[in-house]
Amino acid sequence: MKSIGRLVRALAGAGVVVAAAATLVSMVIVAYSVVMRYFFNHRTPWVDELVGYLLVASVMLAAADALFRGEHIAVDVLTERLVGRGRKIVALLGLASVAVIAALLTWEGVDMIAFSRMVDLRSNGYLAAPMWVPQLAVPIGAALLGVAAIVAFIAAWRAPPPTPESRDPSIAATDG
Amino acid sequence: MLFAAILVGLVLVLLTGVPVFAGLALFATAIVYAAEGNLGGMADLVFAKLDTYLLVAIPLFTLMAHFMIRGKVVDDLFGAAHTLLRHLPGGMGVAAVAACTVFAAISGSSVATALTIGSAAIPLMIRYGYSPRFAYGVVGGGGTLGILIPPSGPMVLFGVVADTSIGALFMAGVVPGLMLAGIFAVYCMTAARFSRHPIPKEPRATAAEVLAALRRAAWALALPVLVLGGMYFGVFTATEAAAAGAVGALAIAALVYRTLSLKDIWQASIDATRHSSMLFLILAAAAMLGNVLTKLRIPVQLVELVTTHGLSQTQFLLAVMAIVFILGMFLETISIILITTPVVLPVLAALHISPVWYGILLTINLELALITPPVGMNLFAIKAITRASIGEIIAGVVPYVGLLLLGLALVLAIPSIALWLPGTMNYR
Repeated sequence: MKSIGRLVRALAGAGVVVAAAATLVSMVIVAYSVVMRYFFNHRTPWVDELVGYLLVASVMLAAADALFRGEHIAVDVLTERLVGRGRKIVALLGLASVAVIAALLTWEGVDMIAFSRMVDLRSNGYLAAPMWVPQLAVPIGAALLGVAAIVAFIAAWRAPPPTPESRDPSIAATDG
Repeated sequence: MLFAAILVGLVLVLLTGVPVFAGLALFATAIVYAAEGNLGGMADLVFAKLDTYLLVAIPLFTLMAHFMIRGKVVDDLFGAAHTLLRHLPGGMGVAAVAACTVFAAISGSSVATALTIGSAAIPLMIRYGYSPRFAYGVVGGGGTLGILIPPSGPMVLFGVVADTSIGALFMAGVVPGLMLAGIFAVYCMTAARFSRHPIPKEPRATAAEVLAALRRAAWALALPVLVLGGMYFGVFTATEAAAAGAVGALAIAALVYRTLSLKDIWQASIDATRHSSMLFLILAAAAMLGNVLTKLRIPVQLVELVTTHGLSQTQFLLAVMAIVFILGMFLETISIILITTPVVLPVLAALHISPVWYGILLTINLELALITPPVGMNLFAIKAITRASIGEIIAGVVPYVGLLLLGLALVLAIPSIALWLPGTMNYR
């Protein structure tokens, strides 16, 4: 069990590495498209389309790692004061709900890809890409998120009841 | 009525403390399943929502701010502002507001603004004899400018959901942002003058000191000029501005300051990616909810309700602002934008309310959400820096709640405060 947990964490880590690389690639190709248009009067119509696909991949593949780090936003105004068992139940409920929604999304994602392949769905844009390729990120990322939620659930189930902790807003907050 | 029931149900689900994206998605899926017996094409919705070129502006602007922070380019922003403004009454407070204003033009986040400026300004203000309460207030309140002064993460989200020009929204935030910064600064000077514990006035900076301060802050000031100027003059779109800004910040930190290692660059992109992943999963889940609301014809019903009662623009906006203010006490900004916008949008069109103007009103209201308890992310940000009691921090920000309400009222009464600047530009 422990080695499965380690494997899943490693996969989530690999996911976020691919996702971060996708972000950097997006930065470079969008900047490239500005330079090409502004200085060379050359249009790069593939950039917009590719950036969209990279974003899907980056969001889906980073989700599991964000879960392991407890970075998914939750409204904890009522639950933060709980200690011991109550707090544990809240944590388990949260992870279970992530597991359920990730499982449904994986299921639906596999369906979506089967359909795209069956009708040979192509993008409308410049790339005319077979849609199932960028769509793959949805079931893969969702499956990874689901497995991560199950691993985290089991770990939380076995762990002793946690003590109250203070929030630690990150400097990277995108919230607002 | 159905919408009220759904809204209450949703808030109850979220209050159980489940991750927001999971709560929204499960809630929406349960309703679709009950109504139609299927999962509502969930995967297609998620893919279509995330496959959006405009959204990449958020991770790229985050990346830009990260490069500036990790490269220590913004470390001296408060110090430079202090040198320039210290001779004013309450000079350090005014300097904190000024530093927040400049940082807000680098970062799209209010929490990042409060954290970055606060960790430099608060300890120094307290050492110089300002009351802690005053210091918490000015950074908590001033920090909220992060989302009103462009770039702004919440404005990108609103622009995508409302199908409104992000460039226009950004430009519309500039004048209200500067106006609020001015109001905050005047408040600081007045409060310092009438304070029971007089704060020693500091001498005016010499010409040499002013020059040195400007030199230290020059690069931090140059980047927003590039990014916002480029957008204003139509050189690039918001997304392109984000990429250009990130590359520019990278160049400044790596080549001018030489303080950014490859490891920093990589860590910055991991952080930016993880945060936008979390954010956009909420966006995708909110799209499922929006889909359900549309299927239940709720936006249409709201339009009918508003038109049959003959509500005026102002009456409708006042009602929505009151609801957003109340939601803002309990929810964070992203959920509020994503839950309310799809429902409000058709009414805006029916009443001929400019979505850009509404976007600015919403953003000012979300600034309030950041400092109104029990859930106010800037309150937690200040607690994280200072370890002060949350009660003391709330007491500090109370005046800023009033000042932001004043700003909201002004922009509501005089729409051109927001709409003038985007009206003069040739945005793309």
